[in-house]
Amino acid sequence: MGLIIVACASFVAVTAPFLTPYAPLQTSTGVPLKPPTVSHPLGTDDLGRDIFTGMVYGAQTALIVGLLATAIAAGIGTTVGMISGYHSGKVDDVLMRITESFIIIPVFFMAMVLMAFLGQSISNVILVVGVLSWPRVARLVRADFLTFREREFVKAARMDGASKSDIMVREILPSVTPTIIVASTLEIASAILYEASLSFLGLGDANVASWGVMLKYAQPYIYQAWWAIMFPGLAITILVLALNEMGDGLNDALNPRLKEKT
Amino acid sequence: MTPARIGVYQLGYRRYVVKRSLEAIPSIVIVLLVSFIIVRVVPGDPAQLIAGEAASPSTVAAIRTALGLDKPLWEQLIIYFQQLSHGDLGFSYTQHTSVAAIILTRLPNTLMLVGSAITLGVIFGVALGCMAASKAYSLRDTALTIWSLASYAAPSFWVAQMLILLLAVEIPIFPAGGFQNLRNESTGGPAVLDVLWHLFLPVLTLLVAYMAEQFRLTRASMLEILGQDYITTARAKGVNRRTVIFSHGLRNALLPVVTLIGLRFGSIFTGAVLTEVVFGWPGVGRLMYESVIIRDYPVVLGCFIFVSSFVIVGAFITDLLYAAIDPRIRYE
Repeated sequence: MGLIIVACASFVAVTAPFLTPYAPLQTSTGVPLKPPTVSHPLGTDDLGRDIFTGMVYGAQTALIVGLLATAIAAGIGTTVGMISGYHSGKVDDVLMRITESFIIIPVFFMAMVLMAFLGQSISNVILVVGVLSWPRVARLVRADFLTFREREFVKAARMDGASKSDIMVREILPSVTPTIIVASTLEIASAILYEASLSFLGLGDANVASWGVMLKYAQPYIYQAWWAIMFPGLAITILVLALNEMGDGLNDALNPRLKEKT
Repeated sequence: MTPARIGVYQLGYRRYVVKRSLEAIPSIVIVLLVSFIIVRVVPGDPAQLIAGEAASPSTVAAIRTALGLDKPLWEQLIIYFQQLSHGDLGFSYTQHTSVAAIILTRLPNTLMLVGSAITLGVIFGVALGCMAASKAYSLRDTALTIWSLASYAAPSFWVAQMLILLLAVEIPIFPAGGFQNLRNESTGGPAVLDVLWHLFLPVLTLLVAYMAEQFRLTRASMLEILGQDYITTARAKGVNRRTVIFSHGLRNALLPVVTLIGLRFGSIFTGAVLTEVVFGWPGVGRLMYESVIIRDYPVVLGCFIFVSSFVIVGAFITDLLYAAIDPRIRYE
């Protein structure tokens, strides 16, 4: 079910330029602060920007940031989890300590600080969110590696004389892929929330349409324009919810063993 | 003997303490190092950055000497840690007070918010989780579960805005922001009520997300416990259904739930920042936001260090407490 919603959102994001005549952040497209009408299906905000346009381009932003940031997080996380899970003893210990240390640090505050210092561009947002999200993926990947490490086919490969990295990548990794996919889906949702929050605080890229930014602009006019508040936020909630559902669904589908327990 | 008393001396507890310390301490060190490095890594003169834009050249020079910015890096590091050990978080040249002082002034407000949210969140979340688990998969359960999923997915600042829309704009019951009614300043009893009235919506905002988490955990935990043999035994013995659920089921289900409270400090504070901004609540979260806007870097870093340490240490202490009570936790 979640898949359907996400598919819709992706579709909208990709076809965005065709769905609306207005440029993403174009101001004064209509009378400011007007409720939904025909030419502006979701109303306008304080500078006359069309809300519907913002929604549509915001979908682009959300998905791009989500995907790229998660790619970074998954890349780093899988590598660390892989190495840590395969080796036991010292290497594992040290890597796990580092991972756990990073998990405890409140992510959003670090993100705020980094964005404040590093300058506000969309690429920074992606980098910061991605880099701060790797520990969670690493933990899951490591757990999986620990499970698979003692399996028959791994021992067989080792006896064949395969090198360590070969075993890690070619033998075990494919089996771990379902976990990575599920974790990534949930991380995309988390990344979207982070981006929205950062944008809301004004720490995102001001030149990029984003649902968070829309809520920021709508804030002072909360008494006059409820539509500016409701729709972007609803979009975020629905997309994140859909991604979470998708992740859970994928988990059920790809990890049948767990399902037997219920 | 009560478990708590033998817990501390039992095998494995010391090892657990060591293990958690080895994770908590590097975390704090990382936080401190990041704060140290980032000011010096960013292009531009660190002294100028700290002084702010309206500073005179003599102020900038004074900062440079005070922080030892012209000395070699490792000497700076030593000065940095020395300052921190004295609780010196730096000085805000924009507000002309020490950062620590500013933070401490705002801290009670945030604690009010966060404390209420955590307490109420646990109470309501656990209660609802219990209710849902006792009639699993019923309409009530499904409705609650859907609601909790939605709450979890919604960004807290949007929830805040929606609550304002519903309860302050459309139906004007609660104020849309602020700490006290500035137009009718009151003191004593009425002042307390005034603050509480202003506190309601922000706490409700934080509650929504936090309750959802507690609800899910409690429900899952309860379902697992209720499916076990000793519950069936109790029912077969003819024990009243309500007693079974509460005294047998809940007590055991509660432990993992309560353990996780410590880990959630980080997300509650994050939610607090966003909520404080929306409601104009004068707490530490909003302080950090304001200082970022005006580029008052000492305060930004001070807040970051303070809140991060608070969260890390808080989580650490709660973890230790629960490990003392429940031995199973130490071996995970």
